[in-house]
Amino acid sequence: MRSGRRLWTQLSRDKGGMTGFIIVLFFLLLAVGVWAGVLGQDWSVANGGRWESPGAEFWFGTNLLGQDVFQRSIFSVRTAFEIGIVVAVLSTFVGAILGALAGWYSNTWVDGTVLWLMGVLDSIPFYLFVAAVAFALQGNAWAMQLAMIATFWTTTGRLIRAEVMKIKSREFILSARAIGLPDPLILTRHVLPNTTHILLVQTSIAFVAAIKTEVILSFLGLGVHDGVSWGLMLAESTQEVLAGHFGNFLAASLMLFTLVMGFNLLTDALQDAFDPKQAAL
Amino acid sequence: MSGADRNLLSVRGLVVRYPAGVQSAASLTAVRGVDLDIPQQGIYGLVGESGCGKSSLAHAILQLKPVAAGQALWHRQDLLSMRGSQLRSARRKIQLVFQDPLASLSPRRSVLQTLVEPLDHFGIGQAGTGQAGSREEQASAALETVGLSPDLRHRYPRELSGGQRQRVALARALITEPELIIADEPVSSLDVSVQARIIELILELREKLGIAFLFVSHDLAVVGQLADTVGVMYLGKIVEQGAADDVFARPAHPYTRALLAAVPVADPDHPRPEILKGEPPSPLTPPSGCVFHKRCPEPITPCSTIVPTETSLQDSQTTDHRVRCHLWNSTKN
Amino acid sequence: MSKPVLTVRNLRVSIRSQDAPAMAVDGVSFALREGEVLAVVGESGCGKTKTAESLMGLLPTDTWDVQADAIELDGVNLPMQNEREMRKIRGQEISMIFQEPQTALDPVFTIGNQLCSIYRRHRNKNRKEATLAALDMLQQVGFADPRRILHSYPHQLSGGMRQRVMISMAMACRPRVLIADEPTTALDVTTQAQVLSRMTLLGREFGTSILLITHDLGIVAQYCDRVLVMHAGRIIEKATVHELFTDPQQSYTRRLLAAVPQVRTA
Repeated sequence: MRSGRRLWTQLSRDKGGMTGFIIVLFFLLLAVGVWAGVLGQDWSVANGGRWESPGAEFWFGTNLLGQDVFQRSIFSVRTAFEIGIVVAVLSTFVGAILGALAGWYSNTWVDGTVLWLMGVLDSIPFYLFVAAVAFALQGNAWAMQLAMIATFWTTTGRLIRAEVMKIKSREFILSARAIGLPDPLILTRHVLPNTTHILLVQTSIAFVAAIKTEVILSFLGLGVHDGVSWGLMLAESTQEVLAGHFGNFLAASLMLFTLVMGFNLLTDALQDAFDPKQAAL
Repeated sequence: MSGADRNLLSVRGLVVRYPAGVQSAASLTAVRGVDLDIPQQGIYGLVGESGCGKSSLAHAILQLKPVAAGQALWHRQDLLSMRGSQLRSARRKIQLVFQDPLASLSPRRSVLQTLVEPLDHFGIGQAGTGQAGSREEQASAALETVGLSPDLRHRYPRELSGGQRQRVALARALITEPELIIADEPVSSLDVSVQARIIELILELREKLGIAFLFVSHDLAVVGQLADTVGVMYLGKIVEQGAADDVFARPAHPYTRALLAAVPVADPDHPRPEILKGEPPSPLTPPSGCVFHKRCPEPITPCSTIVPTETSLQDSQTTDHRVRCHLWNSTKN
Repeated sequence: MSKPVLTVRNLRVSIRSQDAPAMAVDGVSFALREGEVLAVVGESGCGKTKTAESLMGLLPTDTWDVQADAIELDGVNLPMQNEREMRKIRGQEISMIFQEPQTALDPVFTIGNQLCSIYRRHRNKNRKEATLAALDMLQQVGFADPRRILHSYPHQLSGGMRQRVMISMAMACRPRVLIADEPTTALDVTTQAQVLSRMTLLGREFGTSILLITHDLGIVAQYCDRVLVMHAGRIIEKATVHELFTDPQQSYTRRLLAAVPQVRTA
C-alpha cells in the first residue's frame, strides 16, 4: 500500500527506529524458531546438575532443577510474543470499537456508558483486578490475557474516542452522511481507517505493556503456569541470587531489557513517522 | 406565492436550532424562518457572512442539521419529513459539495473509490456481472465531464491540487445525475485563476446537464458571476432576495448595501470600502426586533422592537424582489 | 523619495532535503520605504509567506536554508544567526501578524494579560501604565468597549476582534515594520474593511511601514502604495499601485488581473 511504502522510507531514515526494528525482528525470529520446534525445545529437560555455572554446554548455566537457563530464556521469547500479540491485538480492537462508538455517539447514552465503563476499569487497582480475574477463572490459561485486555483497552478507547470526535465533523464524513450512508458503514469505511496511525502505535505500546505485565504477574505467581517465561525465571532467581547464582537473573533481565528497549525505539520512530505535521513536509 | 410546479425546491419557514448541549447552556437558533425558491435549472446564490446560518440552511435541507420547523418542498414532497427509501431517492437527486476539497474527500480512498461509492450506495448502473467495468466507465465519464483525465482515478486526494480536488468533488456530485447541487463555499479556498475555471465549469454544467445550484458563499463577486437569484442572509434571516441583476443594481436592504460597499475594488481610484459599525452579532444572543438594527446606518423607531416582514419591491420583470426592512414597509404605508 | 526602512537583497530560501533542494524563494530583492504600505501579491505557492517568515527569522534552520546578500533594517544587517538578538528585535522593531487569529493567541490568558505583558516587558511599564496603554491601543483599533475586551479570553471574541487584538499587540511597541501575512483572508468582508482600515491608520500614525501579503488584488488597489508581484519564488513585477492597474507589464500580471471577479453594480 502506498502509505506503507512511505512509512517505510521515513522509518528507515531514523537510526533509532531501525535499531529497534531490527531488535524486534530478531526476537520475532527467535519466537518463530520456538514455534517451529527448532529452538528452545529443551527448556524443561533437566540435563545438568544443580546450579551449574555458565559454560560451554550451558551458556547461562542451569537452575535449581538442572534445567538449561539459556533454553528456558529462548522459550520465554515465544511466551512473551504469544501473550504480547494476543493482548495487543485484542485490546486495541476492543478499544477501537468502543472508542469509535463513544466518539461517534458522543454526548448520548452510548458515550456515557463507555466512559463510565472506562472510568470503572481505570479506577480498579490493576493487580488486584488481575488476581480477582485469575481466581475467578481458576487456573484458566487465558485468565491473565483476559485481565490484561479488559484493562488495556481503555487507553486506546479514549484516544480513538477523541479522534473520532474530531473526524466526524470533517467534511468528507458530512459527504457520506449526505448521500445517506448508514452509520456503521461510515464508521468502518471512513472513520476508523483514518485512525490507523493511533491504532498502530497503540498496538505496539500494548505489546510491550503486556510483556512487562506478564513478568510481574508471573513473579507474583499469578501468571504463566505451564511453560516458562522471563517472569517465572525472575521469580526463581530471587532465591538463587541470594545464594550467589545469577544465571536466571541475568538471562531473563538481559533479554527482557533488550526486547523492551527495541520496542520503545520502534514505537517512538513509528509515532514520528505517523505524525501528520511531519508528513506535511 | 410561487407555485411548486415552477420551482425545483421551495423552502418555507425553515428553522434550524441546535439544542443546548454540554458546550453551550442555551440552544442556538442558526436559521430563524427562511423562505426561498430555486427554479428549475436555476442558480440561487445565498450570500452572508460567518454566523449568518447559510451553511446550516444548506445542510438542513438534506437533514444533516436539526430542523425545528418548516418545510422544504421537492417535487411536492417535504424533504424534511422524508424517511427511508423516499429520502434515499431524494438524496440521490440532491448532492452536496463543500468548501475544503481536501477535507471533503476521504483521505484514504482513491478517486475511483470515492466516485464509485454513491453509485454502489444508490445501486446505479449494472448490477451483477461486469459491474466493476461499468463502474470504472461511469467514474471515468464523470471525471471527463469535469475536465479531468480519467488517469487520475487511481490517485489519492493528497496527490492532487486544490482545483483538481474540487473537480473530483463535483464529479462525485454529478455521478448520480442529480437535479440540484448544493455547493457550500466551493471556491473559497481556491486561487483566483482556479476559481474562475470552476465557476465556468458550474455554468457549463447548468447549460449542458440542466442542473440547478444552491450556491452558498460569502463572496459577492463570485455570486455575482453565477447566480440568477440572490438571497442575502444575516443572523438567520434572509433580509433581501431577488433576481441577481435587481439586487446588485438596486440593493434595498442597508445590510446588502453595506456588504456591497465593503468589497475592495481592484481599482486604486475607487473610494475605499466603507466600514459597517459595530461587531458581528452572536447567534446565541440575537438582538430584538430587526436582527440588523444595532449596526444599521439608518434605523427608525420600529426597528429595535418589531421584527420586519418581507415586502415586495415590485421593481422586477422576472423574480420578485423582496426585502425585510421597516424602511420599505413604511413607504408602503 | 523616502528612504528604505527594510532592504532585502537576493533572498534565497530552500528546503533542506535529500532530493534536489526546492527553492521556495529564488533571489528576491526589494526595499520597503518609510511610511509606505507595500503589497506582496501572488497565488498560493509563490513564496510570499516564506519571504515574510524568513525576514523575521522564523523558519527553523534544520529544515530551511535561508541565504541573502543582505537583510537590513534601517541600514543595519539583521542578526539572523543570533537567536537571542532576533528575539529582542521581533515584536519591537519588526512585528508580524498572521492569517489565523485563533492560533496566535494563548487561549488560557486574557487579552489584557497578553497585551499588558508586552508593554511591561518591552516598554518597561508598570502594571498600571501598561493597562492604560493597552486600553488606549484597543480603542485605537476600534473597540468601543476596551475594558470588556481586556478581561475577555480569546475564545470569547470573534475572528475579526481577535485579529484587531493581534494588531494592537503587534503595534504596541511602535515597530518600524509590520509584516501582515494574509491578515484578513479568514475574515468576512465587512470585518476585513474594518481591520484593514484600522491597521493602515495605525501605520500612518506610528510611522510604521507595512509589508502586506495578500492574494486579493482588491486589497492591493485600495490600501497599498506599491506592489510586488511574485510567482514561483521570484518577483516578476514591481510597480506603484497605479502603474500596476493601469499598465501591467508582465503577462502573468495581466492574467491575474483578468481573473479577478468584479462585483457587478449594474
